[in-house]
Parts: sequence; C-alpha cells; structure tokens
Amino acid sequence: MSYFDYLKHNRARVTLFVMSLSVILITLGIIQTLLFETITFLSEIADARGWFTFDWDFSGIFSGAGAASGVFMLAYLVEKATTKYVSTKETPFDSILFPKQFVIYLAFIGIVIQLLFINSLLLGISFLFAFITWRRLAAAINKQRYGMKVSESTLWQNITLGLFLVALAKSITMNYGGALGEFFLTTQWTPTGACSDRRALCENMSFGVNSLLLTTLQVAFGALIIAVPLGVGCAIYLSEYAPPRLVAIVKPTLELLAGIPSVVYGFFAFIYIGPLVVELGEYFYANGWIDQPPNVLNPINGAIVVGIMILPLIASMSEDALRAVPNELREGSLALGATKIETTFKVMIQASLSGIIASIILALSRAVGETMAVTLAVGTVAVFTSNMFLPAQTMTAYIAQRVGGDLPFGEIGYLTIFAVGLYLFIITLTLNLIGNRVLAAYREAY
Amino acid sequence: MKDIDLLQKKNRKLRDFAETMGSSGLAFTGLIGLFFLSILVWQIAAPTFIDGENGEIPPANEFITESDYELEWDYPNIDSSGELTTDPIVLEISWDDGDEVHELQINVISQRDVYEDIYLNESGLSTEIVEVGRKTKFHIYSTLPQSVEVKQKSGPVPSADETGKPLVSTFVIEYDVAVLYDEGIVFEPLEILGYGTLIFLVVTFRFPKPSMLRFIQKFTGKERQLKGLFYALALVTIIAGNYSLASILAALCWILSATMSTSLTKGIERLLHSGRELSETSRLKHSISNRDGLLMWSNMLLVISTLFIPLEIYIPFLTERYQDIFSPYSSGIRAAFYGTIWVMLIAMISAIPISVGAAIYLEEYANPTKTTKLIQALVTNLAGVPSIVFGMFGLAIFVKQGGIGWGLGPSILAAGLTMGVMAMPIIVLASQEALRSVPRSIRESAYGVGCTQWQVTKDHVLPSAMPGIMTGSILAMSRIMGEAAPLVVVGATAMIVFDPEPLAGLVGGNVNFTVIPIQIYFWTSEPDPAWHSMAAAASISLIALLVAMNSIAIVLRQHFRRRLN
Amino acid sequence: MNNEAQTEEIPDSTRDLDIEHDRKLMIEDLDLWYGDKQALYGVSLPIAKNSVTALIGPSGCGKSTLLRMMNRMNDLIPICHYDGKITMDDVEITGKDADLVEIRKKVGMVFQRPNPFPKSIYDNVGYGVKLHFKPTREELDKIVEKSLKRAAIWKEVSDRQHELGTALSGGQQQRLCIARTIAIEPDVILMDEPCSALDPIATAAIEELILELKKDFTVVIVTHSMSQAARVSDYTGFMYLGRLVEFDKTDKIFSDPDNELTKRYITGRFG
Repeated sequence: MSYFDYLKHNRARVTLFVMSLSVILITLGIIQTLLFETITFLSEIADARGWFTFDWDFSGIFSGAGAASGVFMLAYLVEKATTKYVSTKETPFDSILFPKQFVIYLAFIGIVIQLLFINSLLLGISFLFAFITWRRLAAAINKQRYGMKVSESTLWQNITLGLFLVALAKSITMNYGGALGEFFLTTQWTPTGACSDRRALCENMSFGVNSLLLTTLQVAFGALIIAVPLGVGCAIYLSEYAPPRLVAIVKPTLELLAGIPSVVYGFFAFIYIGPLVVELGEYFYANGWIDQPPNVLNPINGAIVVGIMILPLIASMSEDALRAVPNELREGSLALGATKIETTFKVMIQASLSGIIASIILALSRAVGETMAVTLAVGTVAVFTSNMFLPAQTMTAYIAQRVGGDLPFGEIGYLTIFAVGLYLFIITLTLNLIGNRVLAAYREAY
Repeated sequence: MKDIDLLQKKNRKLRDFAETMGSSGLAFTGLIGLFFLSILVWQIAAPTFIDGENGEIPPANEFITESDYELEWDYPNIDSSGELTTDPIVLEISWDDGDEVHELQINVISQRDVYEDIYLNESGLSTEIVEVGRKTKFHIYSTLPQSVEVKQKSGPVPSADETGKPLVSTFVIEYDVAVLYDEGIVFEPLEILGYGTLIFLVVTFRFPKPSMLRFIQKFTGKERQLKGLFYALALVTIIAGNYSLASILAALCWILSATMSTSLTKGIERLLHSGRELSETSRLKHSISNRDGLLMWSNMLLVISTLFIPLEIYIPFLTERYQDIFSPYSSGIRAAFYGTIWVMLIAMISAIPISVGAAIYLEEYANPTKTTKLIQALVTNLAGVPSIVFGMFGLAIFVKQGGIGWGLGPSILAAGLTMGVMAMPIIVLASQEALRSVPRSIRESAYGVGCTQWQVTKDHVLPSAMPGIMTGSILAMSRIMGEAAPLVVVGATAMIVFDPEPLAGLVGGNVNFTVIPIQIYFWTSEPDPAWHSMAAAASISLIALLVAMNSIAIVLRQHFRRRLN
Repeated sequence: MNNEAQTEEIPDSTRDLDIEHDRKLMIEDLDLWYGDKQALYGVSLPIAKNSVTALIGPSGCGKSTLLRMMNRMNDLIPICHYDGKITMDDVEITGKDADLVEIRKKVGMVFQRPNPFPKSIYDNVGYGVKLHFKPTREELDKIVEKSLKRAAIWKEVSDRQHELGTALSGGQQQRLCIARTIAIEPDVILMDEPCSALDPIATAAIEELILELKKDFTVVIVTHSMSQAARVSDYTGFMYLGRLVEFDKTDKIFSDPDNELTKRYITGRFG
C-alpha cells in the first residue's frame, strides 16, 4: 500500500496525529529558543571577558572538590566491582571489612565530626559516602557467605555517580574559569552596569544567577513551610473528619482560591501581607536580629502569598491521594482499637505518602515558576543576602521586570532573560518529571 | 489473665487527649481556606468601596469646600534631544455645562520648584497665566459644587502623536469617586419583566407547586395567543432597548419563555389527560417534552446574561472609561476589558481544535509507540511549565522579527497565540480525561454495528465526551484569563487609551494592547494609593468574570451529566 | 419486587435460644437502619464462648451488618442508626458512652479482602500492640513471633519479617491480618467472609486455622459457602431480608432445619 493510499484510508488518523505533533513542536520551540539565546548569551560573556567559551580550568582538580570527586569515584567503582565479583572465601581484606565494633563507631563519629571542620562540604560528604559504602559492602559480603541473596541497589550507585559528576564539574569550574562558571557559581547579579554603551556588555556587569536562585528558593521553600502543614492538614480533615456538608462548602472555596489570578494575589500581598511582615521586621530590627530596617517588599511576603496560592493545590491533590486509599485499611486499623487520629497518622498517611509527596513536588514547581505575585511582593533588587526582610528578586521576577521596559532584540538584557528562563525551565521540568512519575506510580498502586 | 495484659499499658487519657487535640487542629487547618478567602475578599473589596467614599481626592461639593487636582508633565515637555520645550500649555477650564469658560496658560521654565496654586470659584480663576518649574507639581483647587472640565488646547501633553503634535485630551475633575458603580442599574422595565418571566418558568419547571400550576393552567387552549404576546413583547423590548445587547438578551428571554410556557401548558394538559391530579407534581417532569433541553437553554441564557451584566447595568469603569493618568478615580479598564476578550477569543480559536484533535489521537487512535508516549509525557509536563516560559516562547516565536520569529510585534494576535499555546496542554489533559470516562461499552456496541474508527469517534465517543471537553476548555480559558506573566513578556503595556485592534499585528496599525491582569499589575506598582483602589476594582471585575465563566462550565457539566446517566 | 409482602412471610425465631456453651455475646432485639432503609429487624442471637458461630444467608440479608455491629464498625457510617442491645459478658456495648477503643480491642475483626497495612510484616503485627501497650523490643518480638505462629504463617515469613506485608500472596495476607488481630489477644474474632477472595488451598488453610483459633477465642464468621459453615462452625444462624430466620447447632441446621425457608436455602432450591 502506497503512502498515498494509506493517507486516503486513514485521513482522520493522520490529521489527528499531525495535530498531536504540535505538542512536540511547541516543546521543541521552547527548548530551541531558550537554548539558542542562552548559548549566545554565554558566548557573549566569554567574548567580553576575553575568555574562550567554556574555558576549562583543570587546576581545580587539586582542590577539595577534586579530592571529593576522587573519593566518590572510588566508592562507586568499589561498590560496582564488588557486587559483581564476590569471593565467598576469606580474603586479606576481611580485617578491613569486619573490624571490631568500636572501630566502626569511632570511624563514624570521626566522619560526622569532619563534616563540621573540613572546608569543602563535598569532600566531607564524600567521606560519609565512603563510610556507608564500606558498611554496605561488609553487610553484602556477610550475607553472601551465609548463602543469602544480595539485592543489588543501582540507586545507590547512581547517587554516588551523580555526586561524582557534581564534584568533578565543581572542581573543573572551581576558579570560575568560564562563562558557565560565572553564571552558575558567582552570586553577583548586576546585568545593567554603568557602561558607556548601555546595551553592550562591560566589566561592571556580572551575571551570577545564584542571587536570583537564592531568593527563588527562599520564596518557594518558605511557601512550602506554610502550605504543606496547612494543605496536608486540610486534606486530612476533609477526607477523614469533615461532615459532608462542610466538605461541600470548603472544597469549592479551595477551588475558588485556586482559580484566583496570581496578579490579584500579588496585589493582596502588596497591600495587606507586606505591612504585616514589616511590623514583624520592625520588631526583629528593634531587637537587633537583623541589621537593616525592613521593607514592604521582601521574600517573606512573597513566601506567604505563594504559600496561600499553592495551598489549594496541595490540599486538593493530597485529598485525592487520601481518598484513593481503600477504605479497608481505615477499617482494619479502627477494628484493632485505634483512635481516629492514630489511624490517620500511622496508617492513612503512610499509605498515601507518595501521593502527598507528589502533590508537594508539583506545588514546589508551581511556586518556583510563580511570577506576578512574586514580582509584586518580593521586589526588584537582585541581592544575595540571608536577610529576608529586604527587597530581593526571584528568577521569574527578573524576567518580568527586565522585559517590562522595551527590550531591543539581541542586546545583552534580552539574552539574560533567556538564560534565566532556561535555568528556570530546567528546574521546573525536573520537578514536574519527578512529581508526575511519583504520581503515576501511586495511581498504579491503588 | 492473658499474656498480653502483663505488658505496661498506654495511658488512655493521653490517647484521648491526642484524639481531641488532633481532630480540632485538623479542623482548624481545614477552615484555613475559608479564612484566607474572607481576608482576601475583604482586602480587595475594602479599597474599592471605603477609599472610594472618602478618597484621597475629596469631592468638591457643598459639604467639602475644596478639591485639589494635580497636573503632571514629566517627560512630554522634553524633546528628543533632551531640551526643554518652551511651548506654553493652555488649558480650557469650563463648568456649568460650558456656560463658564476660562483659559489658563502654563509656562514651563527650566528651574525647579517654582509654582503657584490656582483657585477656582464662582467668579473664575485666580490667575490666567502661571509659571511652573519643570518636574514640579502645582494644584488647582476647586470650591465649586459641580464637576469642572479641564481640556488641554495646546502644548505638549503625555500622549503626543507621532509627529510630536499634542493630542488634545479632556480631563474631568470628578466629584463622584465610587469606582465600580456609577449610575445604578439601567434596565428597561420590560427587560426586567422578561427575565422575571423566564426565572418564574424555570422555577416552575424545577420545583412545581400546585398553586403555580393552577395559575398556568388558565392559559390552556390559549397557547397561540400567549406565544404571540411573548413574541410581540420580545419585539417591543428590542425596539425600546434601542437594539442594545441587554435588550437582545431580554428578547431571547421572552422567546424562550414563549416556548417554555407552551410546553408547560401542554404538559399540564397531558398530566390531567392521563387521569392524574395537579398535586402530583412529581409526575409532571415526565409529561413535559424536552424538559431538560429547555432548562439547559434557559440556564445558559441566564448565566450569559449574568456574564454581561456589566454591560447591562452600565459600569463605566469596565466598558466606558480608559485609563486617565491624571485622575485615578475617573479611570477605567475599557481598553483592558476588550483586550482580554480579544486575547481569549484568539487563544480559544487557535488552541481548542488542535488540542481536542491531539487528545482524540492520544486517547482513541494512538498505539503505545515511542512517539505517542513522548507526546503524552510532554503534554503532562508542559502543563506544569511556568507561564512566563510560555511568554518567552511567544516573545521569540510570535513577537520577534527574523529567524524563526513571525514578527507579529507586541500585538493582540501574538498575545492570543501565546495564550493558546499555554492553554493547549491543559485542554489536552482535560479532554483526555473526558474521553477516558466514556464507557467502553459505547465504543464496543458502535464497532459491533460496523462503524469505522472515525465514525465511532465522531458519532458516539465525542458527543458523550463533549461536556467534559467543553468544561475543560472553559476552565483552561478562565485560567489563562487571569495570567499576566506571559503577556508582560510578550509586551502588553498599561497606558492604552483606545480600543485594541486585534489584527494589527498582521495588517498594520497600532499594535499596543493591554489586558485586565496587566492593568492590575501596573496599577499596583504605582506609588499613589489611589491607583491601588483602582487595582482593587479591576481585581473585583476580573474575579467576577472568572466566576461567571466557571458557572457556565458548571451548568454545562451538570446538564450533560444528568443526560448521560 | 415487593419487599413488604415477602418479609411478612418470614417467621421470627422467637423461641428460646439455648446454647450449651457459656454466652460470650448476646444480641437482643436489634433494629438497624441505613437512612430510611431498615436493614435489620429485631435480631436476637447468642454467641457461644470458645466456639465458632457462622452466619449464612443470601447477599444483602444483613449478616455483614450484624457482624459489624458486634464491634461497632457501623458507627463509621454516618447515616446508620440502630435500636437494641448487645452485651458482652453481661456488659452493654451498644450504649452511647461505650468506649469504642476498648470494645474493638476486645472484639477483633478480619475483613473480606485482605487489608494488610503498607508496612513491614513485623510492623503490621506489632501495630495493634503498640497502640494499646508500651512493649519493649524483646516483648514485642516475642508477641509478633507468637502471633505469627498461631496464625500458621510463621514458617513462611520468619526470615522476611521486615519486608512489606502487601508483597505477600492473598492467602498469606489474610493470615497476616488474622495474626494482626490475635496479636492483641481479643476475646472475640469477627470474620467477614474471610475466604471469599482466596483460592481453595488458601481457604483450606484458613479454615484449619479457624478450628485452631476456637480453642482460645470466640469466633463469629460470615460466609457465603454453606459447606464452609458446615465444616467449621458449631452454631449456625440463617438470615434472610434482615431477619434471623433460624439459629441452632450446625448439625441440626444442616440435617433437619425447623424452618421451610432454611431447608430450601440449604438444599439450594431457593428463590
């Protein structure tokens, strides 16, 4: 059958398929635009700074991160090799693998203490990993000698390998030797320096996205701190306790809250939450806990309002997860004489945990990507500071604020928003992928 | 004695205490949503009404003796090379419907902080010529009990046209600062009667009472006259209402009432004919033909009318006034309102057919190949991508010229397409859910009588899934209606004093546009609290529109759900 | 179908309900409604100590409802309300102020579908114990082992107590649920069609277990299978449309029932 005939007989199928291809087109479009402009941006920084693009600096190999990468690699290789070729006979290594109990405790205490004192955190963690690998190996070999089956955990290997790659990347870009290093590792974000030509790139500008990232994370995790207890509590109440009539009122209310546009929330944060936070900040300032007087625009304000925004999302998704748990589990626990609250916390939450976690991850992704409310609540000053009462700027707010003025295409400011956008896209996409995966697994379980 | 009783027992009181504390704590968190909503509503409503009544600009009436009025020319009196324009600004100040006309000449000088306040009273202006420094405020104080119209006759103004010539614009010193309601309800009595009749009939359909039925029973045998009367009333309503939208909707009410009343009388007749009493109201629903359909249409009509109430009861804030940078309280969101409607329309036209097509393919046709799995995963994850990323996609693809850019400029068209792209994954997911909920048996029985796959989809699956798809689409639309982030990126601006031109991106013209969320965003960013009141008013309008849209979705869903069962 | 007419034909077993054993539970004149719909009509029934009592009858006749009444599980259904009295060891358990936690501790229940918690086997069995007591680690170990042994599942799971309980097969899951129930040593164990979701081999294992359990516990079992009732029970009650039609020793019910309806049901000529 020729393609023409196929087309003729399956007209509907082909047309619909082409329609669904548009989804791929959109994704490719998003990735293409973001990637293209980001690469232009990075090469422009590199050009202006007199570097080659992606100028690697291998001197970092001899730093703490370099050592860490070595330890991680070692742990990975040992674990991988040993799970494959295990000798059931005694070997000279046995004295190392099975020392006296107090030696193990001593080693553990030493490794925990060194986390405090070694300058490079990665190196500290690598020692911890080496210790754990050591004990895992000993346990595995012990098991095999007694003829038991050893379950191979590729997850652990993957984590070790991932950390190895992180440490390697960190050691390579240690001295910020390149555009990537400047973007990902420095903390100064001044994309509009005082240059003679405002549109070109000059020495006074610096592009350390971490100052934006820090505020983004402050807002997102602050929002989670507010929304998770309230949202999950609300979900538990609605699915386990509430009389049906109350559910009939509260659920539509939550849906309504979820439907209110984010810019309205931003307005709400600006006129109502901001002044409240300032009062709190004044108290802190009076007690000398913070060194500058608070401002109406601040990350705490943003965290509160984003928390309120994602609360309905967490509540309704967690409630779905709790409702999906079969009623028999609830009855089984109650029939053993558990009180309702014991049933809820010891059985129901454990049973629906992955569903609840999925809802939290998806809500985190929403919080990271939230724009208008954050722009209005957090401010437009990109700073890297732990004082959460001062104006700051999130990644999304930077994009919205920068693009708000007329941006000529191709100038450095135009390129920066795409670089920030790509980073944001990657973060949220990763979170969504994880969340949806967890959710799909949960749906399959029930 | 059992072995287990030898163990140490847990404290029962402690367990009971945990139970009480836990359940009340959870109840507290359960009510938190209601709590936040009430604060939110109060905080948004408060500035509109309270600040509106004793606002920053006191009304100039007999009780309050003075009202002040600020004029600002920040940038317009600087020309392109940065020099000060020395052209004097001439204002024409008039009141008493043009009986009193005075001219005020304002000379802007390069010094700062030079100004002189001007006083208006019965006898006229305190001075005819005033010198004002650049970037300096001065006030016009009015002690008149009525509104004073200020009109610029010449001189540089904020909205200069392309040639640099000033556009003459009109400013009004407002004495009424209630933002959202202005002149009250302006319904024609006939229109109200039309709505009343329809609502009465709907109520009679839903919850029939013998007394109501006895009243309607009187019209048995006179259906033709009744129908004629209703049609005549519809005609009169339209003509009396001067062909306005409200009158057309009311006329539709009359026509629907005609149909409903005839079917009701016939239903009653049938009921009595089958040997039952009027009091057996529960039997009535079986004797009225097409009861569900009629109810659905009347509900739709009522909800749509609610949606258009802003047009009917004449809220100048929403439908008449443009933004007025000089006097916040006389601003409105007309440009933003129409901008929103156009953006939504374009998004709907571009997104819904493609998304529904994609959903049908994924749900009905697709074999689980790698491509379709990829598409499915992309759809799921695209729905969670931050809206601002879609805005950047729109900026690079639709707005930008050159490369892969379509070069539509920061226009309504580009904005609508961007929003369409954003709505797509949401609609696809909702439609898939709807298609999935169609029972297998429908498909199997259709295949059983020899339908092709497309026929099965078109004739059997789609009609059953339609309510779900429509609900999902409406909800997606209501979600993108509140989105501001992508449009900030695409290039919506706040200061628009004309109706948007939807096709300007293609055929040329003024591409600038704004939407309600953007208006709220920019107004909130203004330092003057008066603008915050306006932002609050705009928020209320936006939320009202969203609620109206959602209620259409709910009406649709309920009707079709009842029919499916 | 006209329910009213049919229920009138059913005679109530009003005769004195004599049993040889001591009485553990006594149900007296129990009426129960779900909303407006009455599900039980004046049921009276004694439950003998250290014996197996089976409830049989067609679907929807109220036997599960009656069973769930014995440890007040019906209180979880908001629309359910009842009138009547149930006493356990001459203490009323149907009162408004009765302590549900204590009742359910004394009256355990095994459900139709195996419902192990998504925890390890060890935690599943220890769950109930930890709710009511503060056992030390050694004590808990001992209780878990004992319960698993009594539920005849110890051999299969002794080396994997810390794996998920949900990973077991259906029959093992049901025995795990029984182990979980007997870990807190209740007086009475209620079983709601415990074998309906299991294959014949697992069913045989459970039935054997029930006979074993009756030495220490009082067992009430609801079943659809008449042969199962005949095999495991000492007493049998036949229910129909919310009424207890006949209650007697199992031998008597299955060989020479007094009531015509019971005879027809048992011989399979029902309907």
